[in-house]
Amino acid sequence: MEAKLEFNIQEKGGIVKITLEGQLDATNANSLLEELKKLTDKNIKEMVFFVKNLEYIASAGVRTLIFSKQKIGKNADIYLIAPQDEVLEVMKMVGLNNFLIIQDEYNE
Amino acid sequence: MPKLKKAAKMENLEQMINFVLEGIKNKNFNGKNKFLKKLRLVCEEAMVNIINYAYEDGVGDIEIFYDFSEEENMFILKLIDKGVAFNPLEIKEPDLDLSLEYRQIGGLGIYMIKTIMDNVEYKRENNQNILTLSKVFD
Repeated sequence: MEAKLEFNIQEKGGIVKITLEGQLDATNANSLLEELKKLTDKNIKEMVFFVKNLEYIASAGVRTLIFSKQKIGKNADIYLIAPQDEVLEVMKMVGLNNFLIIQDEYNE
Repeated sequence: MPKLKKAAKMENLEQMINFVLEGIKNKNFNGKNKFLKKLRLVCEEAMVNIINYAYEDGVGDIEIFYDFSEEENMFILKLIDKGVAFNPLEIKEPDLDLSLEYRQIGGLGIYMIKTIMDNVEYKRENNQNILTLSKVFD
């Protein structure tokens, strides 16, 4: 079966850039989480999720964002860059829009 | 009502969701396209709860029924499992005012379902969990 989610994670100088494409749901959120967990010991300042090509996010994906803050980047700002309407709507539904930095672009 | 019975396993999730989405794709009602995207979310959240928690030994089925009543402009989705008694309406609602640091991980899925659908009903009958979700359109 074709992978529903493609992701890429890069960490440099405490800034993690995560690009997500496709659908982040209960079938694949754990594989993303496992990769993110490898960053637990680093001193992370920013976690930047690039989600322009993310079409769908379910609660399992939302949990990944919450977990990112709680377990990986306790002192980090969490960015959501260029979310599509559907993804933004889910963030509003669960009230996370006020606690994420949501921008059209990420300025280095 | 169209019906599908599948093993409650994550590998069947996509097929179970598509069974519902394909079924109402050809119906005509206001706001259909927007609702279909939200319905995917509703289906996933409800089915994943059953897949993850209903069967302690991991073996069991989900029965899925849906209907669209043209007379009442109402969509109904019914999910039945024979797993441990689980009333999702008893789960504490997430506090949406809390920042990420203090958020509880649980309860998000059922909260989404309740937000999107008009009515969520749970019954325990004959050792079955019966979850009925409905929404009326203009």
